[in-house]
Amino acid sequence: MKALPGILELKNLTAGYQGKAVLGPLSLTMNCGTLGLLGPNGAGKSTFLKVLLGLVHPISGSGSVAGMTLGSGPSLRRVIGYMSEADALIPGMTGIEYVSFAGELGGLNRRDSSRRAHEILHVLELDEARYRLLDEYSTGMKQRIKLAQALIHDPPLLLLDEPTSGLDPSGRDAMLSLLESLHKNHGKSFLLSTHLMGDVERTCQEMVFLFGGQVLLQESVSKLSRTIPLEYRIRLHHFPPGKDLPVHWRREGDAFIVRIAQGDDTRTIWEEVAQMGMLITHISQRHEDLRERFSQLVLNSLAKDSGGKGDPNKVLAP
Amino acid sequence: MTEPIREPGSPTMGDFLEYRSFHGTLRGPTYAVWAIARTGLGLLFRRKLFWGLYLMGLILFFLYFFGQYLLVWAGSQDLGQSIRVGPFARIPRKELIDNLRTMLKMDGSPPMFHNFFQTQGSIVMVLFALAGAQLVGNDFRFRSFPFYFSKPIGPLHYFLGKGLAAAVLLNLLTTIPALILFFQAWFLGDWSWNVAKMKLLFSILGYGAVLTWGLVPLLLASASGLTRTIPIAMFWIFCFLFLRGISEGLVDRLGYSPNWKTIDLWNDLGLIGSQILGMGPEPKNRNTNPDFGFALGLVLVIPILSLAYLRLRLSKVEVLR
Repeated sequence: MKALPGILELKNLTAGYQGKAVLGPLSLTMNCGTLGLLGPNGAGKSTFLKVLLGLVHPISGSGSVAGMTLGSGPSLRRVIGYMSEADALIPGMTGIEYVSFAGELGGLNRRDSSRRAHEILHVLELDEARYRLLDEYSTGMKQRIKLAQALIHDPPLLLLDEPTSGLDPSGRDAMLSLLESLHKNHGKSFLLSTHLMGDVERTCQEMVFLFGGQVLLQESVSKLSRTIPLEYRIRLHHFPPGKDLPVHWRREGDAFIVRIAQGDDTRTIWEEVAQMGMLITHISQRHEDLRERFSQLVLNSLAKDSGGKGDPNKVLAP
Repeated sequence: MTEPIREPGSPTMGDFLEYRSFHGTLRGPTYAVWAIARTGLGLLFRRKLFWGLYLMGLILFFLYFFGQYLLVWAGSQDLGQSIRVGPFARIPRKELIDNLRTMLKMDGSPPMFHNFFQTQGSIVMVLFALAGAQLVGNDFRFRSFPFYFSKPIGPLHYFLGKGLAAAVLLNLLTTIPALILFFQAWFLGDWSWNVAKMKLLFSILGYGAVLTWGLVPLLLASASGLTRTIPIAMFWIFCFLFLRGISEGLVDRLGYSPNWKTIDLWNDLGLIGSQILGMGPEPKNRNTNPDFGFALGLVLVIPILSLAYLRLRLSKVEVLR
């Protein structure tokens, strides 16, 4: 099933608080169905989500979410399921009550809401725990119940705020599989706000880098990955000091970093080393991933704005 | 063949094949108000303490209910001219029953309802002081607002829902039992229906409405500001016991103007209630009560201030962090 075209469209949108813009102007179209929203703290991600949820009204510009105009009040949230980063649970409630209550708030009648809550909790493998108090849930269960309450009214767009936060590797993997399945099998679009580049690389087709309230880059994940060159880290047996290096080689401690073009493989490195009459004792792929790409973008932006101060490595996790 | 057991959270979980889309119609946010109220009440009555307090309210109600019935029944019985009270004394039957009815005011008259509202009100006070944290305070404390406000409802629906829960709680203990007592008195009486009875019926509803207006916004505001049970209970003790003591000290002991009693909100509510029921202040309180206008003013202003405070509190809630 394909996602709705133009599930999210923003045109020259600016938003902020008390008339002061902290976001935009930004123009964005989300067709693909899965969008990763990346950016350091203070980049405007929360404000962006608030605008989409209709909790902050745009100062200027226009936009629509699943065909509904931004700023159309609470009814906008009928087409959105929001999974917050904070727990946002109601103490004293059981899992089934919580999800069913979410359905009623979302507009379902009591019977439908209860039925769907049971179904969704079964799908999310929380059926064993549905009558347990939320206070007794583990982190992974809390993340899944938050996803359940976002899905209960079957919205076409999900806003997911750090859905893998606090999960162990297997829990994270399971959550990402769920999100992939939701998109592939049920045509759900989602916007994933995260610090984790790996989550975006795995689940999203497109990504947006926000920085200082501006879109620094909007690109498809696959296209962005293709632009990243392949690098290998090698060690040679008795490399004589002072010997000249090929131009695409550089020294890093007692090893060498060799960059090869996309599409090439390691045979070129072996051939070059053989021509030099040397022997490789170690070779490993060095991942310059999207994180580094983003770091470079942030660094460039900082350099432009404030003479290069700031550490972009602090803003993103691998 | 048995299906292999899968660990929750295992990677195989993510197939989502059994997920079904919803094809029904979504209802408007007004329906969410009752869902919020019902859920709030459900959470309250999950605690035994509230059942205990509610039971106390029921006992008081049954005191009136059976007292009213007993006195009417006793008046209709041929118990002789006098009734033996204790080992030596005998009291004329009619005198005893009339005295009991007048003294206890268990005769379906406006003073009976005034007394009933006042006694039940004291239990409502305790109930409210303990319910505030559960109803509203926990949402602020445990940051539940992303849950509420990511749904198609606004702050108005949220507070209407919470207010409705508190109003139901209050009226379950006051107005509804008062209405039962009213109809009981009517059935035990002459079954006639006249303007006075109609007026009394609306007075009871009016008294309940005044209590709801006076107390529910104050509860929501105090619970949203203080969030935890003990500070909320202390605030209620301050409002309804400490200020009462201060006002009585100022007026009754130090001879200050009776208008100082306006600071006693419970007294103000009682004063307005007695006016609604068509009663003046009791003779012993006639010279120590504030002007009706002052009492009415305070009962109008405090809920408005409470609602303004609620709006302010909610505007500071960070739904997304």
